[in-house]
Amino acid sequence: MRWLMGMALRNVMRNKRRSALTMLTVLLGTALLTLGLSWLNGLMGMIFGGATDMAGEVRVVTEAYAKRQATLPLYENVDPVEPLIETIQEVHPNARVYPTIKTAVTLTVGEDIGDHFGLLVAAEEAYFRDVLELSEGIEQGAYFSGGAKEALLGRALAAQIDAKVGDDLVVLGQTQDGSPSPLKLRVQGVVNGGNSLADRQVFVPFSEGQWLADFDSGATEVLVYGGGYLEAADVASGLRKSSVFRRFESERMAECRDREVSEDICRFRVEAWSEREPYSGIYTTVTAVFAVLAVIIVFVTALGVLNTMIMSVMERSAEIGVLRAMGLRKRGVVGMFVMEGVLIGLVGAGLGLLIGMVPSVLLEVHGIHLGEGLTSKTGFPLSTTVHADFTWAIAGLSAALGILTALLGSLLPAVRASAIEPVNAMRRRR
Amino acid sequence: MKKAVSIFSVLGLFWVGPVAADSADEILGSIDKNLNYEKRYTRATMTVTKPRRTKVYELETWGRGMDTAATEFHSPRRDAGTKMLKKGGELRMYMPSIEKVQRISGHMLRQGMMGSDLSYEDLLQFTGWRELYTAKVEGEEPCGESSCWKLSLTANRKDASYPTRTVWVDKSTRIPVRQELYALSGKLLKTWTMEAPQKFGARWYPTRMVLEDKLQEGTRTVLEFRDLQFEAANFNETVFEQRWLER
Amino acid sequence: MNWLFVLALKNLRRNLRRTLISSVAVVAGVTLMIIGNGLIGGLNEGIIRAQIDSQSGHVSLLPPSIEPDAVTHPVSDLEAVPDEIQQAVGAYTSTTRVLFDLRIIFGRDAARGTGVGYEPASDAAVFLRGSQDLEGVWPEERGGQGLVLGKSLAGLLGVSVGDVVSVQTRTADGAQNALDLTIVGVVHAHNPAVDNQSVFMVMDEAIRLVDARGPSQIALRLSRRGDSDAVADKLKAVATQSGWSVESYSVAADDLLQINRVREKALRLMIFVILAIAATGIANTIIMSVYERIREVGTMAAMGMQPRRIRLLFLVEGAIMGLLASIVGALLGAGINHHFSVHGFDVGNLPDATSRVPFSTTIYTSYSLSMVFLAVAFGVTVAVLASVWPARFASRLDPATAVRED
Repeated sequence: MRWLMGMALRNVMRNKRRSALTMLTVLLGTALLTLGLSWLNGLMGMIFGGATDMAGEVRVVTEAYAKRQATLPLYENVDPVEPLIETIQEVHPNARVYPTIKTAVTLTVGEDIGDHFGLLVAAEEAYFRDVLELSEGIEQGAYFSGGAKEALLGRALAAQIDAKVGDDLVVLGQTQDGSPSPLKLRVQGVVNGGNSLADRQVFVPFSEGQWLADFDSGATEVLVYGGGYLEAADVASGLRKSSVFRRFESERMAECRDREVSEDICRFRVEAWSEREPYSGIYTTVTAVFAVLAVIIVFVTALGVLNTMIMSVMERSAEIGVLRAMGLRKRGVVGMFVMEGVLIGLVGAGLGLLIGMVPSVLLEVHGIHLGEGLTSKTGFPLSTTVHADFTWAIAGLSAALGILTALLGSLLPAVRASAIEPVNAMRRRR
Repeated sequence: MKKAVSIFSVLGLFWVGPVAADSADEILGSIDKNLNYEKRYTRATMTVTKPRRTKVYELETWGRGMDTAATEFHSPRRDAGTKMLKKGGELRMYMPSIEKVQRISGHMLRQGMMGSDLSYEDLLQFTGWRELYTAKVEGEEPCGESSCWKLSLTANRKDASYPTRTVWVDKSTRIPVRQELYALSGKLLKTWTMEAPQKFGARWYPTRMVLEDKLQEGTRTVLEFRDLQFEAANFNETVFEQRWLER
Repeated sequence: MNWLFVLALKNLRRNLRRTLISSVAVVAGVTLMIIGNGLIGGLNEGIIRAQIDSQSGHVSLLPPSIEPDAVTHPVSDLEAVPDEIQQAVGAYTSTTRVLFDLRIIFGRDAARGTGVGYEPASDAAVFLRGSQDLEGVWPEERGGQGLVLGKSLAGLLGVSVGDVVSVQTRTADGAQNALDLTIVGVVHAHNPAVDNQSVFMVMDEAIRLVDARGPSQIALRLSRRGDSDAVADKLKAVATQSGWSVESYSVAADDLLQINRVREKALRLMIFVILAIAATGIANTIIMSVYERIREVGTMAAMGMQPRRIRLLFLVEGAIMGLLASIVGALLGAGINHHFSVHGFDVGNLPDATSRVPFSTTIYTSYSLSMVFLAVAFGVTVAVLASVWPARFASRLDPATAVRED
């Protein structure tokens, strides 16, 4: 074994130029693979991340709310909401559970009550800080300081109503009963919401939202975060199937029956973001498209590497013939070439990874600016910049693929070449 | 003698000449006399029942003529201090939590006051029926312990919110104990009953009203008046000024 | 020069497998470029078409009181169409619509909607129904009775064909009006403005409800979409005299197409990556070719072939490889494009479905010959560029050492 390695190393060093060339191919291939996959990953993350920020990885609402969610019906609420939160927490102790209230309001700055519509999002401060990361996105003013009557405005909304930090903001909404409900708040900060939808929203403390809607201690949407956006469907089904949750729900349904109201008010709908419109459609489409793209990248890269390896081995058919004639067995010959391939692959992939990491990380930090224009008309949260997302999984994958293709690229032709009669092999020039 | 009296009384029952029957127009007139006022003060409880829950409001309202009125809500706590002023054909609302006055106009007028079945527009259109409608007596029906005329009212103006109404007027009190309010097509939009009448000087006035939206099921508004005062009311006219609203 | 070509060709053919394998990347890149472009084009087209077919026609004339893209639709200020406008419009295929706010009530549920009164005789000639999915029928097939609801609106209320709903609205004078009407159809127009809020009824029924004195919109369909701007300008002269406004569909469409600019950028980036990979593949092939034939090259140089010619030789090899690969890619891409431009590519519900952008669930890719040529040119360029350095390298080889090398 050691002998084989020694031979392989010597062979590699023997024709430095050729080895360098093949290694370069592996290097480039791995680097491009790293960059390509990181970029795809970032793109997917941006699309799905925006969705989960706004809609929760898993969302729990009443069935009645789900049916009319287009109108954001405040009267379909869960009040008190603490028992529901506790139940969810019991099933998924590591999850973060946030009650939220969303409703359409009109906003005014200054004297006249105007007609600017916006979406009000009331939630606990932890949601704004950890999920929406508003504390990182402050563009003017400051983040919530814990004082009363503070509001954060999405930057697009702030521009639209011409609001500045410190202004008095009048928010006019409706209670769950339909009577007009006003809030007067101070603009604490203008914030980059992270995506096109959030930039048009106004964020207020949970208690303010409850007062606006006239809830005792209720909420309309309970958002659950835990396993990341890929695991959401599993988290949701885990919650749905758990006996604890089921028991909680059937207790509520019994209450509904007692009160003789529709069961939809008491029944819950537990959905992962990917199970809800509009995300469900795009989830499958986007992942499919990205999978195809990833495969294309991998395929094309692999082909390049393979090609090079095959060439370099075929070149040495004569060598193989000589070796065989000298008594080296087929297996030995193949083994030697494979070892060379692995060696080149290791070095090439390793270097390629390092080189590929540089633009990937750069792209992750800086991102590519997509432009503001697109976002105003979409009902879908999209960021204005797309960042790549480099993960060690991608690194591992790229390197592994690089080495694998190098290996295959030396194995296959070596096997082919060693099958030829030594005499004929020696006669071939290439 | 007794026999003669009884015959006359029996005959009297069947007498449908000018003595017993008022014209539809006159009936409208007598309704207006009861329901319209120069001055009115009352406390009221408004109970709004919706499919999800029921809310109870306490309010106080002052009226001068039929086109000027001020209202202040006292309960529940979050609505306490909310004021409304109807004046000059416009309706304004003061919301204490934001210390701002908003004029209610456009599509907001169609909304129910505080989410009730009484729309802001209904509040604005409290004019005399004699002027707004032409009536026809359709017949008579028993209503409760009393007897009612059934009138069909057709609006004289194209912009009347309810182009037609069917009204049951209690003969003795001249109060429209029940109304059915229709759309132009004849579709029933709302019902409005006036109950528990009391006498205030020369007028009869209901102390309880029930409104129901008949297009969308499940909502009902009940108004109960206490401390009703009319000409005897003694209040400061400053309530009808813009300043009162903003205080 | 000719012989250079022949030589290059022969060289490539000599190691066919290698040539083919390295071309794959170029094929992939070119194919993707064409398909991607076709897809984006198809998306753009879908958006525009949905907008034209269901909302604005090619050109719309609006009365003084109506703002384009307005959220509410008052009927109180509508007036009869002035004669001059009537005459000017007469030259085109046109129809009128009345739009008004209404509330639909079904049991305990109510929702706001926009009533659309249309003329059965002329509406379908301007607002094409071919791209819409209809469940049920249009009211004119029921003697002018009934309503057609937008799909999302019907879903919101939980109603379907056959249900009876109450429609509440106000007449032009301000009186309340309401009717019980049967839903005879539910339409999926792939345009959220329609699907989320439209309630269609024949004009007579609409007038019965709101007593409008004139239309909210006159929409025209032209024989060629490209004429829209010109026609709109021509009509502006007449229309503005009476206070009416004229709009060509392109004004609204521009806004809507923004979303696709993003997609285009994303796609370009993707293609860049793939072509970069392709370039390395080709470069590596040429280099290998150089190495393989290093003696040959040395011999050629020794025999007096100029470095320039040597360089050219390898460049040509690269170019040919690129050209062939691009052509294959182009054929593949164009073929796929063509297939989908005829049959459509069903993507189900994409996010635009809930946005304000009209969007179809079936994309018909757009077919563009110029794109094909562009893609091929691109492929060839990449291939040539990739060959530059290896060709240079080959031309610089010292004949003496090269000949000895193996």
